[in-house]
Amino acid sequence: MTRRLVYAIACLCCAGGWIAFPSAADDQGQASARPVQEPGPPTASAKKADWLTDGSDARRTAWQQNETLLTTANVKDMKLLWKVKLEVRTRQMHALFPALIVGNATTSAGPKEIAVVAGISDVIYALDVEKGTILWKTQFESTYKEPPPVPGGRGGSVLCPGGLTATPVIAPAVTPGKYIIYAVSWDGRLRKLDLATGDALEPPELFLPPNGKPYGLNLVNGVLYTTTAQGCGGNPNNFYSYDLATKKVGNYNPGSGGLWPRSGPSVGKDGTVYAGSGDGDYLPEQQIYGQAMIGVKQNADTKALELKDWYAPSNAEWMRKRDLDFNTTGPIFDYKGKEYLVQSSKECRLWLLDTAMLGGEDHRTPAYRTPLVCNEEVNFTMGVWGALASWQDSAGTRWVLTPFWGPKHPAFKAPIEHGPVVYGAVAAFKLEDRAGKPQLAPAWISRDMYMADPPVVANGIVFGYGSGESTTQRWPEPGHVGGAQGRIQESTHAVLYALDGQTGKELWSSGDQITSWNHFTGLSVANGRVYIGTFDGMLYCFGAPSLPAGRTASAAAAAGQESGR
Amino acid sequence: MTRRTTRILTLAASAALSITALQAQGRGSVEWTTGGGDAQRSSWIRNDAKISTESLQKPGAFKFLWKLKMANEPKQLNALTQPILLDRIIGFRGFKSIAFVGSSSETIYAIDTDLGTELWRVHLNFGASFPPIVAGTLACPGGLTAAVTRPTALAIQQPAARGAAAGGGRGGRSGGGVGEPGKGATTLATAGQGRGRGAAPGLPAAPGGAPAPGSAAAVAAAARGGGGGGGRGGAVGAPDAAYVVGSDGFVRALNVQNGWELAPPVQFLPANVNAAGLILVNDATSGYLYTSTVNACGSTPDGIWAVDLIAADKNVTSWSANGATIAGSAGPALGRDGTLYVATTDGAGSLSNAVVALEPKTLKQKSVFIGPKADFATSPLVFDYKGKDVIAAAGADGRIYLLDSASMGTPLAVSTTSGGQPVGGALASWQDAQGVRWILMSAAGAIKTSARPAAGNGLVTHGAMTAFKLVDEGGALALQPGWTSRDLTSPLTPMIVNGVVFAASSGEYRTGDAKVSAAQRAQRSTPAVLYALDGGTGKELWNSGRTIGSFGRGGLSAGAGVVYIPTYDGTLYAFGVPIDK
Repeated sequence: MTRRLVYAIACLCCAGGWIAFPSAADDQGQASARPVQEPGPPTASAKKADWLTDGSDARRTAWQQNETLLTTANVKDMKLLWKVKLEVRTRQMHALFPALIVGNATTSAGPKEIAVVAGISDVIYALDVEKGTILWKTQFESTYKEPPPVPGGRGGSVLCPGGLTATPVIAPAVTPGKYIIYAVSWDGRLRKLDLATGDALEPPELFLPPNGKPYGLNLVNGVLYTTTAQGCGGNPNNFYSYDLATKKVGNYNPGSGGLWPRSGPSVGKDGTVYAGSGDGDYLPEQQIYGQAMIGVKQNADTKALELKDWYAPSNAEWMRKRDLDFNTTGPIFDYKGKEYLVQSSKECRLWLLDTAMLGGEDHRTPAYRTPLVCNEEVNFTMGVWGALASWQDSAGTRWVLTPFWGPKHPAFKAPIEHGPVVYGAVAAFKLEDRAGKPQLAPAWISRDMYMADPPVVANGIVFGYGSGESTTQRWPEPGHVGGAQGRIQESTHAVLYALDGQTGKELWSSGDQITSWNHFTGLSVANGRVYIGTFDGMLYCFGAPSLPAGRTASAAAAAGQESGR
Repeated sequence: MTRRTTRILTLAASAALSITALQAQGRGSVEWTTGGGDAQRSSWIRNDAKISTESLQKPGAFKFLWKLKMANEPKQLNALTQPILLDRIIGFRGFKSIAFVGSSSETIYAIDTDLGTELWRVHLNFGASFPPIVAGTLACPGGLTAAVTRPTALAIQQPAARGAAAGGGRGGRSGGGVGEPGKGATTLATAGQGRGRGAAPGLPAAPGGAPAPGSAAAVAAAARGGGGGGGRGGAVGAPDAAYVVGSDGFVRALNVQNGWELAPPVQFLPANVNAAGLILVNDATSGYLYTSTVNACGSTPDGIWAVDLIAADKNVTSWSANGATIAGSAGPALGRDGTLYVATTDGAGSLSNAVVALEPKTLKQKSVFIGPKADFATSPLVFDYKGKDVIAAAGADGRIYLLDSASMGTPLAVSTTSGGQPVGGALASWQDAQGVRWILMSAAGAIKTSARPAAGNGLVTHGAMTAFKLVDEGGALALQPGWTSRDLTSPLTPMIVNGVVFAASSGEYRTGDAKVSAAQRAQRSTPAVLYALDGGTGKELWNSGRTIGSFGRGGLSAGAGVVYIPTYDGTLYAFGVPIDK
């Protein structure tokens, strides 16, 4: 056995579960949810928080449970620490994917906190977050040859932009302080990079069909998971698994439309992988499961992905007719001894699903279904797009957060509201028991945000943002340019908000500091810093007032510090 | 405009029409895109996932869904036109199912049929040099008279089975696989083979996927500038068009999404005619719009009109009935080869009492049947019988004539009288699961039990629906009486959905006394009632009770489990099987 193989297996063993699930205590929020009001300065020995996967963890809670620097008391003084322009060639409306953060990585220059940011143009950057400088950049060599553009075809559209589309995932290696980045390049091959250097640890491995548009990678117990959507590249929509130990790839196609959870699929405690099957017929008697929440699980022996369970809303036909399909990453959490998954869609309501039996005996009965939060117009460019979040406060209250686009539904009321909602907002729900059954009770609705995108939670603070994106799926017509070009012209700029997790009150906003908008990306937060990337390739880092400002640099200025590949 | 530009635009328009035709006819059930539902004017929806004789008998399964009142000033008795339907099109405001309804005051309404709300409205400004009719007559009411039309296929194709691959990555039945170690996913073996969006170059477009390079659809997409996607059949959200002719005689192609005109209006008809049965039939190289004009309105003899909207010159062709009066309300019926059929009433013209066949593009007379004293009262309809097109039309005495399109000189069969006078201006026809061909006729007036051709469903004092079966009697075709419905007042032309006959007791007051004005007729009319009848027996399965508040005009249409009926007061009613929202 070669040293490389030994190293790889050791890495696998380590990667197996580390990022997958926080401890039970953490998950219950008992240990870490209590907001720390006045933390002291960070010490070298303090354990630093990570954000190793899109949506924070394998269950996609989008909850940073180890934040101590940012508090509801000091976030009002949050400031721009640095911004770095990364050289990413945009494709359609895509540019950067959410930053992944390793709090304490060993490098040749000593321990560093590193941000890893993937770009649509098959590129990955690593940045020193304290300085705001680029450590390295890797540009993947692709075996995929992009076909000549088809006029009006979908090969080059907002839905199928091409390029690297899945947020990578990071796992610790066997050596403390060493980490492996797993990424899928445009050609569908799996890449494994050393976090410290960006070097390839192994040659690229065959994984997915090229140009298939995979979503955020998840890594649990030595298996990578993703889903593909929109039939991009002429490929069917599938769940995929990559078993790192055997290099076997499993796939499962529900016979549906795209499986397009923004942050990738969520994985439950038993390893079941969840994603919504997109717009398609729900014909279970024909084994066709469109318009449903699908749970698949890897067969431990064969490594095949097998259907475990599904839930189809009672109004699946309506959702199909109006294209209101599941399109979000839903968080999974424990509540009173059960595991629940919360999901939403463009229809703009939330479904609470018991993972023990997603839709009951008939596959159509959720644990709870909220009324419509928005989208009275029944317009598929409104509703919930992206990902939900969930956290638990120190009082033990389980919260669920959803962003939404467009006006609030007039019939939907929350005890605390912060003015009219025209373009979008974040809605917060508390999970409560009523008549012995769990229920998502509206708690607050945030201020208006221009196309509110997925929130994240840290230390009692909800970070939300309006992407500033024109979400209208516009066709060319008099006075309007169609497709991505038209939408780019109509987009404005993103605004990051810090909200009180208990009330939704605005505590801080980035105002006009962010000058561009973004599309299908997200936030990440760790160790007092909040990251957001924009269409112009700029990565912004806002942080706690106690943190030193980094250097604001362009990629060109930082070129001397990077080792381009 | 350069020749090159003209050619590109022509190609683009042609391709767009091809796409819309595919959209109109190619996705599951057939859409109601023209008066009478299809080019043959059958008024028959062959497949519907929700409406059946069984579902109509479930209490509460079929019900009133919504009504929408449109601002309209009736012209004589004309109010709204028969709704023309478009099921599920993608636009920048999402997926919609739309009904296009014209009004006599020349406003076109697009209605979201899922919600019963107005999407847009467009008023047609009168553009002719002749002034519009201010005070019309019952025969020549003025205003907009013909229903909107959308591109319509000549022949109805069998719908694809549900669950078949539908593009966009949707790939039939669920399933998966496991690749060999290090060899990646099993899907690598079929990567890029067109089961999703973005078909590889050189491959045909997947159903619902991207147009193949160089295809007409691709040309059309290029002309539109690309972008977006997820449309009906085409992957680029091809702009469908609602074609409408105003009383100024101009045809306008309206963007189905917003009502904007897609091209400059084209002069098609003389002003102030009474147009009926507007239909746009297109193939790869042409897009012919047809209509009939009746009652010699606007000082224009009755005739058939055609214009190729794809052609650069937009020359209008017409056929004159030579002094005869064109019968019926559905306009010309088309055979599967594109031949147009038109029927005429009794009169002094040489082509009176006739069914005339016209060539598709030239409108030259191909053949004719003249039945002395046939006095046709309905438009013809065409149906397939053992591979041949058979034409049916009813005379004023209630007898139905069947003609062989290949040899029109002698009728294949003539029925007995139905016992009543045909009303509604059109027949309907369908074929049941046993292969029996049925022809339905609406009749007005009392029908004595002794005069009925077949067993009835109660006393008929105002009118009824009469059904005939086509039978083979010793090698000769015959129309055998089937059933007579319950009593119906001035029934509209019936419609068949999946074996269920929808009949409307319109409630319209009818009289032969020309002195009774339209206003008096309206006042004496009663609210319409929609009935669902068993297609095999005429037995009543369901009725709308007192839901409808005015008398029915314009005509029924249906699609996706919903039946529509417009009324004189400008209200459109929708009845159907509700979707759980």
